[in-house]
Amino acid sequence: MNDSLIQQEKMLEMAVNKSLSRQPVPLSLENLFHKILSRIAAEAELKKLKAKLWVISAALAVTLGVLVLALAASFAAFSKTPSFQFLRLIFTDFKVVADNWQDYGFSILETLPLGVLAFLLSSILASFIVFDFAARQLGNFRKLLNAQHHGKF
Amino acid sequence: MENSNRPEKNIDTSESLNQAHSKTFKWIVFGLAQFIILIAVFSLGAKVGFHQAHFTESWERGYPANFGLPVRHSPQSPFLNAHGVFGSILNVNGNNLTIKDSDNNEKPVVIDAGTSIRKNFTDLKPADLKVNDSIIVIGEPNEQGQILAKFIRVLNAQ
Repeated sequence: MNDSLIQQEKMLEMAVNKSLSRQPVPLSLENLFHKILSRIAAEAELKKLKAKLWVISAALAVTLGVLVLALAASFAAFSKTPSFQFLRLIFTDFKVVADNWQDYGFSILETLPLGVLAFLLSSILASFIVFDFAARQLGNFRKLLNAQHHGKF
Repeated sequence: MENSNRPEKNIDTSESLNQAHSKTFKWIVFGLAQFIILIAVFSLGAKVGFHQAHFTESWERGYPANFGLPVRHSPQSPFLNAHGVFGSILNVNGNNLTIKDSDNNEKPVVIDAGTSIRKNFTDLKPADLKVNDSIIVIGEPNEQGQILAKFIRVLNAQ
């Protein structure tokens, strides 16, 4: 909870105490203002998080779409280039590959579809970032809901 | 009380300064490492590009001699791969092969005594290579626009 909220709470509490100074304050009223303000803050936070979750789910959908597109493009590009054929040689002719590692390395570098590969890696990175952000926001959302459920507000 | 508090404050300040310094140091090291990687990748890219451009130029210059045609010819792709070919054999002439690669370029491949030719688990001789065989060649480009084969893997017919 932030400072202004605490200050507001104190001011409200003081005002109520002043008005009820001649009467004994019931026990249940002691934390009432604190609870009300906490609840208001929690509701505001929940509203913010809900909006964020909508944005995140839209971002997730877009990222996944781009990732599928990148995968399809990479698959098409790799099937046109002989990179896989050269890579296969590691498993079938490792000794020859090790003996001629420089020519072998150049042959792979020359055939790699770098543009599509960069597109694929960027979309994977973007989806990781969005997933990480979404997981953190979902965690916050769940915490807030749990706290509400257990009557902490 | 004041005297006892002062050293603690000094320790705190020096600790936070140390932390800030170590953070800056980490960023400097990280930035330098990234810069080194960037330079390494750039120089590797330049080297690969140079090899491809040089081979393409040699291939164009050597086209009449390699393929017995009177005129120079441009390749289908802007740059030819200089160190490897995957394609089918168009022509076998002793130790000289002509391969048609996936971009429909004809590439002259030269076999020498050091070339190892394999199909499955058996070693082959140059005479065993036939037209239309699918092969993978790893080799080194020469000044005549040919690829000096170090290794040839013959693939099974599909």
